[in-house]
Amino acid sequence: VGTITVTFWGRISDQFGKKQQIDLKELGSISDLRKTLGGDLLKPAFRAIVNGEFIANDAPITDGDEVEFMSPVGGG
Amino acid sequence: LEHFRTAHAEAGGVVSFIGQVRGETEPDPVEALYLEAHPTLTESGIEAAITKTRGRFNILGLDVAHRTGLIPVGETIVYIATAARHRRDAFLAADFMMDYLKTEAIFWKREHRASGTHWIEPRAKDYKDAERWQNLA
Repeated sequence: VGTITVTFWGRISDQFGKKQQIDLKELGSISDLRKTLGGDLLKPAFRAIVNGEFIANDAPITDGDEVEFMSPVGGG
Repeated sequence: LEHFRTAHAEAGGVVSFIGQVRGETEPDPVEALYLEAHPTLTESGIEAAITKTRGRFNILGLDVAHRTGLIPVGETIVYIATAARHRRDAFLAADFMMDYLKTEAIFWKREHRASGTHWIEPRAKDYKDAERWQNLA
């Protein structure tokens, strides 16, 4: 149905790699994508970004979206 | 810092802070810290935090520089300078900005030790430090 690109930042890149192109049978929401990928992405601390904007879990995914998942952040 | 200080001649106090890679030695020495930033959101987040800090404290100037990439032990990670008419505002603004950088700024850190590499994330103490500001509104 659609293809999205997913980038993984920080610790979760050890589980999923840095970037994946994923073909989805059903587009669904960010929450559905979290369930499909599993692992740490089931935890809300790993925030989602779609096309450069922080986004809620019930936001729909559309074909061609650039999704990013972030591990907990912190600098200094 | 000297340039920042002279650029704020009307300030009564200038505070600066340097965060550096801590050289823990035994039993598994830290060799370096690798910092990764997001290509767009790290900078916009820091800019928003600077605006927030300027709005919250009575300061005349605020400078922030944060490194990315591989940083060896003992080298600077972050530099902050604040200038204010009175010292307390300069101290508080620097502390507030550092709490933002430690817990909310979009960086991912990986420690390089003799035994290998490990991701490091904020400690409970860092989040607690950042929470103080909610009670000091």
